[in-house]
Amino acid sequence: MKQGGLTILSPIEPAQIADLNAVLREIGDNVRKQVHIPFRELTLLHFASWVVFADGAPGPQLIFESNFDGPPEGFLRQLVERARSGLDDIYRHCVGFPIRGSAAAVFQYLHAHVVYTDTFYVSCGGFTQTQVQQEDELRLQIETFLGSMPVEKDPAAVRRNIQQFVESQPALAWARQPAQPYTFLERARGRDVVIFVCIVVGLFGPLVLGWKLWLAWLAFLVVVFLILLVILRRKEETDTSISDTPVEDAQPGATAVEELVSRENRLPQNHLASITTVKPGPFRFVLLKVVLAAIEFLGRIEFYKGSLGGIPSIHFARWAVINDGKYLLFLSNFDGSWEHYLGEFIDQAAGGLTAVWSNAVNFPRTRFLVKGGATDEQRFKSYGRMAQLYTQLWYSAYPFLSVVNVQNNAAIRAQLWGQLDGAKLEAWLRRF
Amino acid sequence: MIDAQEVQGMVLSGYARQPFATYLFLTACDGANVAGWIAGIRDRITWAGKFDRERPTSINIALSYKGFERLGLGAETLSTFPLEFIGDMSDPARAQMLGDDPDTWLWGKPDHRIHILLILFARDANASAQLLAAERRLFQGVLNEVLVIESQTFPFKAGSKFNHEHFGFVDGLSQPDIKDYRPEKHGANGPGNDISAGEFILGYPNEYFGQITASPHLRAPDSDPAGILPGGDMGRNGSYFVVRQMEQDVAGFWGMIRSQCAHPDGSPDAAAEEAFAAKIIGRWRDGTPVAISPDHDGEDPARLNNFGFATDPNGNGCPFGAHIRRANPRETLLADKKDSITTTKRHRMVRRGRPYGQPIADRFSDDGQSRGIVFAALNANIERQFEFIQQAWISSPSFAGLYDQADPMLGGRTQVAGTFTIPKCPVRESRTGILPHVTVKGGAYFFLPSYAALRYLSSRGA
Repeated sequence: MKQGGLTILSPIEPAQIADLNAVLREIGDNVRKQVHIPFRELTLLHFASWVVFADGAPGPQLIFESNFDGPPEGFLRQLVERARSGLDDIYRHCVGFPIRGSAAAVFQYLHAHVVYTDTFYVSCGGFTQTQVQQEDELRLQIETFLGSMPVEKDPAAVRRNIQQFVESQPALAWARQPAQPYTFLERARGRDVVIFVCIVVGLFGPLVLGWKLWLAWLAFLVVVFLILLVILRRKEETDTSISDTPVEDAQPGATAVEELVSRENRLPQNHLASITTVKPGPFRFVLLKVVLAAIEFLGRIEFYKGSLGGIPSIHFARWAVINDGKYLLFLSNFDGSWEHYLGEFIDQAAGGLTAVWSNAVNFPRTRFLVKGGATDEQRFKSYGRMAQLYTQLWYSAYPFLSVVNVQNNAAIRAQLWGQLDGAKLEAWLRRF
Repeated sequence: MIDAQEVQGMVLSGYARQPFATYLFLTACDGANVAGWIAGIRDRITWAGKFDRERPTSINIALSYKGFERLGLGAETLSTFPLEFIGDMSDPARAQMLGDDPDTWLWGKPDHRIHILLILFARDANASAQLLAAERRLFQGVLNEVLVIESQTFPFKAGSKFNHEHFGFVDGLSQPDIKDYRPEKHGANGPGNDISAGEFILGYPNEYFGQITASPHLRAPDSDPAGILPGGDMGRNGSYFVVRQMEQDVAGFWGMIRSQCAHPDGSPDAAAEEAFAAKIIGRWRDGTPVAISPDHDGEDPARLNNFGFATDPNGNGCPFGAHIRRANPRETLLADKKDSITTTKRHRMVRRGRPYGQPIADRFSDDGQSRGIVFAALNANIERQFEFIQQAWISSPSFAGLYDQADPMLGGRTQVAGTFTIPKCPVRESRTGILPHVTVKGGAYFFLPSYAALRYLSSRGA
């Protein structure tokens, strides 16, 4: 089943911001034990966060990030049905929330405040939340079984024992069938076809006018491209940038970082919320939209199998250009520490990230959109901290599983039945 | 080239010929002339540019953020230090990240931060005692002694050039070679071990495309009329110095190993104990890596740091969770060998740890004595090197695809069951109850200033 992600932005009553902060913190401080939102009953939900963006436009805004299974309406319906009182506790501080309204009114309110998510990235595409939990339970049960199994030297016999064990467990009956495949049709979007047709027609359409005119058309496109490149280079040279500040002075504020770090590393996973200002003018706006669309496409078609261009530690992430193109919102749910995460960005995926944030004010200086930028290690990290928002409330349905764990569990189940021998059998047994 | 005249000796040498060391954790007395004391000790400090191999003693000095603050630098200058150095190891958020509980520490707590760490090294006990007495006389009335840790190294065997820590393992083997510094002395340790000087000493190109790591600089109103610090760079030729006192429960550790390896009738199995302990550490007691010699010790000493894990991709020799594989995953961190080397080279430290306390007589019976290691590591960026290794590798529950485990020797933040997976054919062995027997008793972040920086700091007091 396909995963979805809603970004919901609600204006906060300015006088209510402190109260809202307190509620969110109270829930967020003890997300497993609090009674406001019964997260465990939200069976479609993988990750969620509520973050206050105090400097929003025109006023303070509440950002609600959700990552769930299936269509948005299904998730919103479950949320309103099962977490109504928690929603009331949070949204009573927001403008126009129907505090005494019907479930349908609350649904309508949330639906009406959904904003467009430019890039929605899912590392384990197609895996439902229930499936992730079940497949980990399967592994744990097999691990326990292996602990009680008499010593066995033959790999095939170990596998047979595991299979017999799973068959003997009624609670694991679901594991006798393979998981639902995540088909190409589910991953594709209608707009892919439209864009593909536009590109083909744009490049080859003029052929109907004869090949000479077509060559002239291509030459024209090349000239346009070069002109855009020159404009880009000029902007890259002259835009203000953190790169102009000595690295010792380009540090974020100590108090702000202290507050951010205090929220991190409570669990093996972490959350990152970040807002940067998009560089003014249509050039950067359009460029940013194009880059985000390209990453969205690659993520959906290629990088849904556990790794985003070599980074195997992001569960769900998104970019959204919000508030009429003024800000770039980034939200990520990842494994390990912040320092590890940004290090992976630089080591593995500097080009793609640079292409995105090159369009944000004050980013480290870039060249040809993808060069430089994030590779300016210290300033990139400082920039990252300065842009970060404090995550008041964050929920993960499986905080102790890394992306690699989730993928390993799925592979255990996928190859549990049928014929496996030689190296493949040994490799499967190494998954425990 | 490294300007060795300006660099403190311990940055570039482990002082192997001086087995005695005294760590003096000091705070400045109220109103005392600390700058004057620094002016005096400056030329007694051992500088890397003028090593005399026959010298009986060495002295090195490290300052904490509080120490720099005490020397009267302005807020603007102090703000050019990195945040982790300003906050120090005991800062609550950093403690959470490192898996520490500073409330239980003996020293280095947030309200009792050390100012100065003075380390005295000596060839023998006599020279050590004399030096300590002499230096004590000189800082009397200027500095208070918060804590003194006496350290002595113990050769693994008579005549061995390697020392062992209290669990009994040769220590300090995995050490980076500093690129361009005495390349003739580097072992054949492979490209993954040849690390840019800027990873350890400020002012030199680092592993990020040769960038220069942030260095504390003078900012107005602080000034340098005599031009002692070129460009106002106070950090150049200095290093950040991470110190942690880690107590070791030797009988607890070996008792755990013994109970894990006992014969079915409960009697001990000495050979199994050695092999199991080697799996936990990743080395046999003589330092032989289990990755290249899974069944026995006795490997050629030249190979003890000259190996990788690529020949052991499934962990059948060295488990993925073994201490040395976590602390330095070498070329097997990521799927690609080259990417792994690029990344691991950005997270290395020069280690200068030494044991404290006397070796235990019988490693299975507790004698009530306190012993452990003064972990000491040099790096240019504490957050990216020491803290990163601690959280992303040592204590990460999902390191290398594992589930809910931490370093079997040091432990981690979330581990409760003490699970340790030993890959085997046909299927892994999973142990539980592998709990850490190392406890942090104190810790702090220090800085080892250059000669010029000490000259500048002492000139300010005049």
